Amino acid sequence: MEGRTAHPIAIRLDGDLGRPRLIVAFRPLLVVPHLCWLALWAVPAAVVVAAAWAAALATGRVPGPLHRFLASFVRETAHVSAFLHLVGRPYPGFLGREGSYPVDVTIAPPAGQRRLGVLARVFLALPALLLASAFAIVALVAAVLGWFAALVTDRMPRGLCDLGAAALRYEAQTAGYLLLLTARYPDASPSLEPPTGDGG
Amino acid sequence: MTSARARVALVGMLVAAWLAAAWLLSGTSVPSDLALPKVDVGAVFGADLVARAERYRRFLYVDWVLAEAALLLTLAVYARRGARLARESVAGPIGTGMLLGMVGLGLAWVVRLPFSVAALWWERRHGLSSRGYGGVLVDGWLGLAGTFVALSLALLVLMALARRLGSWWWLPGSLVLATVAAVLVLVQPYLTPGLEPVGRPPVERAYERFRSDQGVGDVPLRVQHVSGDTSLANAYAFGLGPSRRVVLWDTLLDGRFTGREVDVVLAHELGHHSSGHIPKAIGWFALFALPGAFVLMLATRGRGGMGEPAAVPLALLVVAVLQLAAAPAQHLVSRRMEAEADWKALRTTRDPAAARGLFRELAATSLGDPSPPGWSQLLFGTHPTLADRIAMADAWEARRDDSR
Repeated sequence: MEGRTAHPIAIRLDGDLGRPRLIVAFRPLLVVPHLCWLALWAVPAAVVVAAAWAAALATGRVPGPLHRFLASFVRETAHVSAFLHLVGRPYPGFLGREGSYPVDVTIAPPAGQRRLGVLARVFLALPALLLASAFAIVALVAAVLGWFAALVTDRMPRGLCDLGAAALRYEAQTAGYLLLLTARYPDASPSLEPPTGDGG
Repeated sequence: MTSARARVALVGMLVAAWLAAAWLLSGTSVPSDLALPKVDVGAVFGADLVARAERYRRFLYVDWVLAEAALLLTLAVYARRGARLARESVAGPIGTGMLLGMVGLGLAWVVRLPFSVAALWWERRHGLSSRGYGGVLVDGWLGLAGTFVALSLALLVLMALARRLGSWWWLPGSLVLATVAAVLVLVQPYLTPGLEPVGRPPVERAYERFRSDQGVGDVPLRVQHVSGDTSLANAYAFGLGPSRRVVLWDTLLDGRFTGREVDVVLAHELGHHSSGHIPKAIGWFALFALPGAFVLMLATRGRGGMGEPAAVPLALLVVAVLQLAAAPAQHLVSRRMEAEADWKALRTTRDPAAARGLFRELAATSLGDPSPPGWSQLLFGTHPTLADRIAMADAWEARRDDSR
């Protein structure tokens, strides 16, 4: 993508397509503890995002600690989603640390944001949320097809893996936009690029 | 005092406390001198029903034995090889332990699935179930999700304790497990869907009368609609404190059982609450968990202890063997409680004829073997045999007549 700055929220893949059958077979159930954990984590995350919204309205920037907390939440969600959709191979951790999972979401540090954009963030995010729900269906279809393929071959087909990764990236960018991690609108282009700059 | 002597003293104290607690929990209101008269099973239940029930149960025994053998074999293989799966996790030691535990339980479910399907086929063939085969698969798969969460919680607690306390984790670990069990028993009635008011004034009036007679507090009566899946009749008491409930399956109210027979069921279930059987069952769980956790600690030491994920596949095998070994003792406890609930039902309803009718009808509608072999009662007998339950009704009646 010549001439465009990279999106501050990006996804990185390790390219490992091996998926052991035993872990594939029970994959939808293996993430249940993570889903419970994310549901618990969502409660303080909702409080933090409200605080981040107020702070960003007042100062034009999300404070670093709040940004880090929300970034970990978005990363953990992406790690779990990557495992569930067979985009990632290993069983993910519970803390959403950057670099802790081979399919990683990198999130640039906090940058300045226009107050009007912060004020209207929920409404501005609606089109992206609609598109993200469409991407979620795409990721689900890719995962179901990949699940059968991996049960037979022990491997995730590259095309399905990349399709799932593109969908996950858009969902992570949408979550990041909604949760004030970036002012940059989600990027629906299929290319995967590393994060640079703040993009704010 | 040397450390070895201190250890022996501690073990001695624990054993004494265990025995004292077991003695306290074993108390029952069934008279200790109650002699059960012999029941002529063929005459009471009919030779044809007894033969049919024996044939029906025989298949289920074989199915169970095969399922257990397949389970233990699978878990033994998994105990040897399962630790390799640890490299498929980046979730840290405890998260990896959870993964290994869940995969092991998932394998156990898959291995037992054909035997569950065979049992369902047999029940359908005898008109006792109308569940579809897909239901076994879907319900089992969804049920695994809840099992995985419970297992993950248990492993989180035990592995965290083991990593902190080393080989002493089993002592607080068993207490934590008992606490978790108590919490689950407390919340279970709130999580059970489809419990509705009975809506039958005669049944509700009788229930209120028995509740008052037995001195049970505010315990609601509910009905569960299961007749779409099974023709078996059942009822149960569950919950703790404010969540206590008595539940009747709607198959008990479909006209096959008389009103007086249903009354015996109501009084029996209330007997569980008035005798404190549910808190006692939690107490027994704690008593079994204590030596169980100790054995688990000893068995997993060779794999680095319960704090290491590599020990989890072996721990699954050990727990499966312990459950099998403890089943006869657990069933003995259960049978004592059921006998006490029967005794309370007789004292409350004062209707031994209705109790006899109920047990005969239960044999006919569930194809329960009225007088199963001793080994079967040892392995599966959570209730006294139907013949013994009728004998207790006879014994109660004889005592009443003697006291007149």
